[in-house]
Amino acid sequence: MILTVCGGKGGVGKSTVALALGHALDAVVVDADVGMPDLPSDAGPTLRDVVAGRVPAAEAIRDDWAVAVVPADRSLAASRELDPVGVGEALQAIERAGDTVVVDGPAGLGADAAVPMTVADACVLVTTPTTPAIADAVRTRAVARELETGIGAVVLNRVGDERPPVEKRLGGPVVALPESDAVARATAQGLPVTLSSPDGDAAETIRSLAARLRRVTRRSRF
Amino acid sequence: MSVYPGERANTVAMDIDVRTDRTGTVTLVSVVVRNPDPAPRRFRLTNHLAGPLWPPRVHGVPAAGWDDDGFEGVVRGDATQALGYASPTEPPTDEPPAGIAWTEPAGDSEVGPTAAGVVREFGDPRPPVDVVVPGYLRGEVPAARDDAADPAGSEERGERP
Repeated sequence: MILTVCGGKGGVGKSTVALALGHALDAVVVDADVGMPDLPSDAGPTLRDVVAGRVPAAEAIRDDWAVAVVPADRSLAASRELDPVGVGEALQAIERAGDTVVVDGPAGLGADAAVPMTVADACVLVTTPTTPAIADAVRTRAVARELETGIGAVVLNRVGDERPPVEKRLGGPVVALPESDAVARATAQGLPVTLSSPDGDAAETIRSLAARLRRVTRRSRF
Repeated sequence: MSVYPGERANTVAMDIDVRTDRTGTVTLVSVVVRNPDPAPRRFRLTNHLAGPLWPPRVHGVPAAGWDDDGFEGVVRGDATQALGYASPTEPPTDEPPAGIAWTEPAGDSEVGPTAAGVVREFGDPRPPVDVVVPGYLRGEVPAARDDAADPAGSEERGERP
């Protein structure tokens, strides 16, 4: 199963959601935001090395940490080298090696964002309640539809006291992730919130989201 | 609701299930086309209702593949495709409201969205070569890997917003 976390706008919490979701699903989290990655990395092989065929998918998976991760490179030269078509194949290879894959997708609506959506069983659309973020989420949803990939869930991140009624605009069940110290702390520490504050409301929300995505993707397979 | 199960398309082995739901003054026709063959096939679905066909629309225009009489498209090998349209006409009770007119082999390149198709459509997302400073201009040996440890690379680092 490949789940791609997408959202159009940057800074809405895609990486935060991807990491926590990856932890809750015991999945491999792949940073597909090459050039501007958010997930931790070391000097080992990256997604680029898998795409280029330099290392097998299984070797690029770091499973010595709380969440198994395939990191991305942090340079323009690396993103210049990365073949976007190969990214789709690499994600499928990582799925074969690691079973469940959560892709932390890049912002924007270019091919680099669309390719991980094409190979996904479902997309997880992340947005904040601000107008620009919701506008981009609506566009991303339209792209997902064109790519024949369903939206498994919509995450409304950093909800304040008043939650805007966005169900109709985003066309699906919306999971609200309220603004909380637990999530802010987890993000600052670079940890999944399900690990740093496992008993909090945010962790519970992520776990129920993970359960929902498991159900949705199982149903859509035939 | 009427169900018309398991009608076998007469041209080539392609299965089709058709069902209709009458809602107010509108008939909604749901079709599942199944291609049991491992190779992709192009097919044409035609409307058998007496009245007009109202296709699904995207931004006000008929969705890709739809015209006044039906739908033409490609279904992957060993896969199903769901289709649906509406019509003001009451569905007949004795015959299916839609059927497959013909099928033919399709090329792999005609099948649904692919990564290559996405890049064709959206353009190559890679930064232009001009913005990438070659290693020899940074005083590195040409074979050096450009990874997170190099100082030029860290300047381009994307900050978490």
